[in-house]
Amino acid sequence: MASQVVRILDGNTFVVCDERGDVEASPTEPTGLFSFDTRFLSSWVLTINGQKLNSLSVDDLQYFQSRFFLVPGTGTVYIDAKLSVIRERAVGDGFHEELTLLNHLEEPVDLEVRIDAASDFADLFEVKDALTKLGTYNTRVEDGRLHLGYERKSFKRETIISASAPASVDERGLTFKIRIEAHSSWTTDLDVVTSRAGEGGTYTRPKYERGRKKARPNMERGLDKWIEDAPRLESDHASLKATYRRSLIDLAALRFSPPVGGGKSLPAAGLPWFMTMFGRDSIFTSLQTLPFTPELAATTLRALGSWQGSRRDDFRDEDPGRILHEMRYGEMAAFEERPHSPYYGAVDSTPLYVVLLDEYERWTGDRKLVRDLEFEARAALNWIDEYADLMGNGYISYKRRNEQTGLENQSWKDSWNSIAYSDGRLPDFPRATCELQGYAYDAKMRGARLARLVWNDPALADRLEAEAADLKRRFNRDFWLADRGYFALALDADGKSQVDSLASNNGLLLWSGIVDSSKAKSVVGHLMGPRLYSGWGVRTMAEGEGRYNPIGYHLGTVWPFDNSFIAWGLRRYGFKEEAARIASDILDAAVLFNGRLPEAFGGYDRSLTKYPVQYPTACSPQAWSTGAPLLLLRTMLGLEPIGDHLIVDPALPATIGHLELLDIPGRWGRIDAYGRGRVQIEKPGTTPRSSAGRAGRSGGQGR
Amino acid sequence: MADATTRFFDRIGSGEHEPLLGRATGSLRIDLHDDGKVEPWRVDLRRGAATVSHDPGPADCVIHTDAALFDDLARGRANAMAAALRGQLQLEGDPSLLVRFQRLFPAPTGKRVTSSARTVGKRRG
Repeated sequence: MASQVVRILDGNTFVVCDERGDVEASPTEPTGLFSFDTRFLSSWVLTINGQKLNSLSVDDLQYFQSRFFLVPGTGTVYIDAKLSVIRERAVGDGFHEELTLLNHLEEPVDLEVRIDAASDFADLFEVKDALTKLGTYNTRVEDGRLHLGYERKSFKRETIISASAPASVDERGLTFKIRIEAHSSWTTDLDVVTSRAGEGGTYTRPKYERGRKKARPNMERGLDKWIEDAPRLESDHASLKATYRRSLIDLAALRFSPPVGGGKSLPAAGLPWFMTMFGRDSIFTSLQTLPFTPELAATTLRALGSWQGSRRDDFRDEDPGRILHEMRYGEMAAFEERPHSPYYGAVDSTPLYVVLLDEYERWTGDRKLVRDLEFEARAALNWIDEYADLMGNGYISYKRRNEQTGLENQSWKDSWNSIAYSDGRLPDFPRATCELQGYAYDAKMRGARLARLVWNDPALADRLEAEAADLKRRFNRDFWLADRGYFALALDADGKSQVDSLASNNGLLLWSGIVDSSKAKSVVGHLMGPRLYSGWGVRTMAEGEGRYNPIGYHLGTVWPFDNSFIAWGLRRYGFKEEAARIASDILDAAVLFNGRLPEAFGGYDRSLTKYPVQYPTACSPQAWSTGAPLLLLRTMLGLEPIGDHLIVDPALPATIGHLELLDIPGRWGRIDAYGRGRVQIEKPGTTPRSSAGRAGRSGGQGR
Repeated sequence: MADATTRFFDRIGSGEHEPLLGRATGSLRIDLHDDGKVEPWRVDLRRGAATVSHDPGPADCVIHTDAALFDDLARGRANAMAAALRGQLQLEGDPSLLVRFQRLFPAPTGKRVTSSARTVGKRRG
């Protein structure tokens, strides 16, 4: 059995196949060629004289390109390699495959080479939920091409398959009857084109052709240039350099060019199943990557702004001013069996949109974009007060209006049982989770800055600041659990009862700045204490809570993305050593995952498990995990734009030694930052000392 | 039937700045197909202000659709993006202008014309 799964992709077109390069999809095997959330090939199987091949090796040449080395045989120990087969495949508007056979014998061979092809045109949602199709299939051979079609009313999708070598084409595939002379080879190109009627997305050829190995235009920049344009990292800590490089490569693969992006890219949420625009994931990843690849933030802001909600639509959970949650392009979105055209059921993405706009301006000085998006930002700020306060108590809360296919939990911890009392009870809806109030506070403060600086509206700025101050005062009263010294996870549907579990959300509150400074020390004590801190990072929920589970999705696992923002929050309140500790531990974990952090790993105590236990997940890399090491570099170096300058205030773990980040882009042009590791990180499984600073001396210089 | 369409264009073509359009600039032509006849509507956006005409000339974004479907859009009985995904609303040129423009359609009212026979989320077998 060829079980290893190979994925290559270009934007939202991707191939998931086995290590032979074959696709044999079944309800439990989500393999195939996918584009715009539709499967265009569910079967693509190569045989020679009726036999499948064995895989010798697979080269992942680039994220859009793979090469498979194969030999005939049945998979026994001895492989009689008188014939070699090479398949080289590049994805883009379908895929281009170069099939080459090498005859190693001293005599000619006659072979029948066969490609079996079929498509079920399943929607991505159908692949997950095993639904039946309502449309009709049609297959035809025309001009030597095989057309696989699907039609449901005006919805039409087609896969067109052709070969460069002479082939006999039937409705199930292509056959090549060939003779290869002694010590010679035979080759053909196979082109598979994905076609969508009526969306301006119809191509007649795949993006790649023989001999063409470079990314074609709709990928703005090739991988080499992408890496070259990012800041350079120098360190005597070799694995940190490797993690940094892995992050940049994965980020390149995660670039997604939405139809409204004007050819530019934003970070999609995860590869391959979430190669689409997500409000929350695209914004968080843009925040993490601002010091490295600021153009991702610009495209995110423009694209999400274009799609901003404009009306009350219960099916889509849409309101005026609301920023979308998820966009999909498949059949079920088209026929409104799913609300993703787009779906707006997130309550954090709207305030975070304003946060990103301000942070983007602080780094880049790009006031034109802030001016261009003035109405979008105003509408987002307006949404917080006009549409998000479902309980009328001055806090953002959520309750879905689409009760069939909408999302129940609409902030980042979106699993059904993630928001719970200490005794395990689940609160009712609406729910006001605490981090949402932090985002609202931050959005108002940052919106005020932009109103004064760019929109020339000091009255709005004054109003937003007054509202933010009032929100902060109320929040520190209503969410604070005085006897325990941390903030409640949420307020229940009565608008008053405190959902009292201790959770990592307290760290996000520090990031937003809503925490009274008199309470910060107590909050930090909990974050770094034994109930929340595993030794690899801050757990989503504290050990000892009713629903705590070290491998529960949001009930005790450690999320690298969450930790990177907690580290930023710790820096904001001056807890440099604690931020360095989180950076050190998460980056230690990254090394054990070969530089690619998973979405989450188990919350087991580090003293129990030598390695972090990966949470099983279908998506890797995931954008905000990919961005986590980048944000941790920022927090370790203490990078902060102030006016036209970049402040560098490093606090590095001693294990890192020397660290240089060169050519950091921003409103200053390019600047270098240096730091030396001086923060002693204690042995795994112990809590850090609370004694104050031996942070590294700052060093930053302009060019 | 065309009343809703005409009222829609009358409403949006005031030449005043419309916040929903942000600072969008560009031109759309919407060709309404009805029984073999084509009626072009042209919308020029200048920094978020729209003017409407029947100029059949080239535009940054050209949309072809049935007059009846457009009437549903103008009444809030159909969704433009879902219709585009279904292939009922065909597009040439810059899709971002359609994304902007569709914000002007009203909120859903009444029964959805595109409701499906399939039970949502039902599993096979």
